[in-house]
Amino acid sequence: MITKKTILIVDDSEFVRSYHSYILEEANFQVITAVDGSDGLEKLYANSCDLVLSDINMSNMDGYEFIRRVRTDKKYSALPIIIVSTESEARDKMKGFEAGANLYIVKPSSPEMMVENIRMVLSAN
Amino acid sequence: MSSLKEYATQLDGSDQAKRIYAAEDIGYLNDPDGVPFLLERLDKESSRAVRDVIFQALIRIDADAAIEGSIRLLGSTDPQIRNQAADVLRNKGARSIPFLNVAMREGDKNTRKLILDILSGNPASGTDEIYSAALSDPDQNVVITAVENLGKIRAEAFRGRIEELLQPDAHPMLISACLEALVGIGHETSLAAIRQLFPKFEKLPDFQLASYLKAIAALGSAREFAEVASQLYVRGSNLRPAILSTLMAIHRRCPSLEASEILLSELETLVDSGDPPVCRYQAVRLLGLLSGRDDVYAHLVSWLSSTERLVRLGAAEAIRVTGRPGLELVLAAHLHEETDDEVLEALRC
Amino acid sequence: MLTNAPLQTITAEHLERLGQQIYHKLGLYFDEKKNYFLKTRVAKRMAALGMDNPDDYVFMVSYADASGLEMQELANLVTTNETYMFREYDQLQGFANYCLPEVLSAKQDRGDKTLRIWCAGCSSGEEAYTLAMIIQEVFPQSQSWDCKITATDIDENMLRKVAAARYGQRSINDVPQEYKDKYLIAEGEEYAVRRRTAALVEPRYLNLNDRMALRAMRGFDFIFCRNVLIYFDDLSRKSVVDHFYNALNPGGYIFLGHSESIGRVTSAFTLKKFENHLVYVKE
Repeated sequence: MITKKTILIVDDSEFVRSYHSYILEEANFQVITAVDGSDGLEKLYANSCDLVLSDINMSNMDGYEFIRRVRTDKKYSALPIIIVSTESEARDKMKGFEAGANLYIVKPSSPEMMVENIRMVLSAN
Repeated sequence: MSSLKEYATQLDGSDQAKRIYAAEDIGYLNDPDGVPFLLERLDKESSRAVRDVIFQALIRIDADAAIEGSIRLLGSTDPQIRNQAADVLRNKGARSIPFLNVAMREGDKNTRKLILDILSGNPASGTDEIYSAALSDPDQNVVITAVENLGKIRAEAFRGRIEELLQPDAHPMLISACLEALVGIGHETSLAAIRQLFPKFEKLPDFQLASYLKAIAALGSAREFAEVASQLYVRGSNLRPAILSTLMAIHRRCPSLEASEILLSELETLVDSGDPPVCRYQAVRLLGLLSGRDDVYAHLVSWLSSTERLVRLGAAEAIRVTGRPGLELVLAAHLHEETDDEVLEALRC
Repeated sequence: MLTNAPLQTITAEHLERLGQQIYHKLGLYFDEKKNYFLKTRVAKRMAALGMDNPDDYVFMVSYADASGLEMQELANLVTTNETYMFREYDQLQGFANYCLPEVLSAKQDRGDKTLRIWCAGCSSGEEAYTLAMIIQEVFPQSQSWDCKITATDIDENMLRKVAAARYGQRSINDVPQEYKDKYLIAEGEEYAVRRRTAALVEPRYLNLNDRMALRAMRGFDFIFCRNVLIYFDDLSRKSVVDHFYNALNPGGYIFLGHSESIGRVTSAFTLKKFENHLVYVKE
């Protein structure tokens, strides 16, 4: 039996979390959600996740800080992380990769592209 | 030296704890002249803990300078700074709105999106200009966030504009946002607009159906009831809770609705083996509402002994709603064997 | 008495939204297994406010409760103020089995034989004495160390109870038998904490809203502030936790209530995992 991959969605918008959750569940992923970077770390530590989708602009702990802290833990050095953000400048993407993200998707992405990108990153991993 | 000058000197010191105290004291001093010192320190401060306290101080200082300074910080390349600046402005509430109005006109798309994030959930007046502009913004994210906000704060005045955004070529995320916004502010015209966009909702992908269901839960009637019920075993199990919630919501508005035998049978199957577990609870509750039949009542009573606590909980609640004579005795009879606190409370309530 | 109408119309969605609001505003995590519990409390609040429609209640709590007063009313109903020894056992296990040994070992390496713990908002002291018992049990050498548990509260009556170190049956129900035998003495209907254990605890007046008093608290290895901060507003809560950060030594741990999350309040602390325990440390 193939177990579903689990994706952690970290975003401070309830609507975005819900919207992306349904897209991913339809694509046969299991989904866990977090409201910001701090919550993301707690959910990551408490669950077994195969990939993380993270927003950047969040109160309390933003996405770059979240990713940096994830990467400082050796256990998660290879965990695939995709940034999903409204910020589209080249410098934002550079910062994302410097923090340790594998991919940077600009919102709003089409559901098909999002799922394709996730599958691509998972299989590359 | 005045207190402010003393604190400002400490704010530039090498001891992190003292910089924290200095920032805090400047905040409590509540002197607008303290704002420039705080902003200047932010530029050079690397400690997250100190930055945190600087922003708290900006919240405490009751002055336009704190608002103006925070708006300038919205353009920072550092996400901690721009997001905490957003928090300051959020905390300032209605007082920040005139400044946000100006920033909305002058800011780039990222700033405009942040401004809407700041306003999220704030029903204060004075934001019509911001939202009016945002709904026509060239950037999709700004439009989507505006729609999201307007739904949350039940801004009925913008209903028509949101209905107009429901176009076949609109981005799916915008469509979903509009559907969800209309949950709070929609009425018959909204339902008509939704039906026009989705004449064959059965063809909707799951992710969009979820938003559609929320809107139908708020606006639908008997016609939609049968359509939604037909999806119960057609769609993925992850949508069952949303489908069941929608059926319950419609039933509350149309209590004389009758369920088909197929639906009753599907609900019974769900109670016995549904996934996820919460839909077993929902299915029991719905059965209790949909059928006054003796055989259904007998099922409800038998489910008081289910091995699944959510089923027992749902059965206790459903039985109570039937209002049948003798129900208290039925519920009381299960008290002695029940071990779950919540179910016990439901049996006793 | 609860009216049935609101209770029956409160849905899982309403509870989920309220749970999210409680999490956002109070940092209190509400387990979905407690949904019925939350539902009855919400119905109570709705009845008190004369509200029939749970949509309106959710809207009010989410977007029209600027003062946070309604959230506090709801919080008062959903949290238990009861204090007793060995409350939230899981968390105490994490402290005793992982955090405490780690801190002690690091201190031993440095030749530092002090241990300082702060119970902030100690109420009648059950928590402070629980920690005292645990320390003496898992760290017998504490006798030759300089160990102190500072138990602070704003309520002088409570502080007198801490000083008396005597508790009724309800407070000691969850104390494991071997701890009862070693650290408590039955005296009539009460239990007294043995003098050697009670001596570790020092009750002290402190108002968590007094920033000057908070600044004087430095050099702690552990801070426990469980089920206290949920009663503070956002800004005050953040301020107190920032002071806790300063009060801790590097490598020191902070413990809030098991359903409270420090991560909701500040990102200054670092999350660590020991087996299935998640804890926050000042790095």
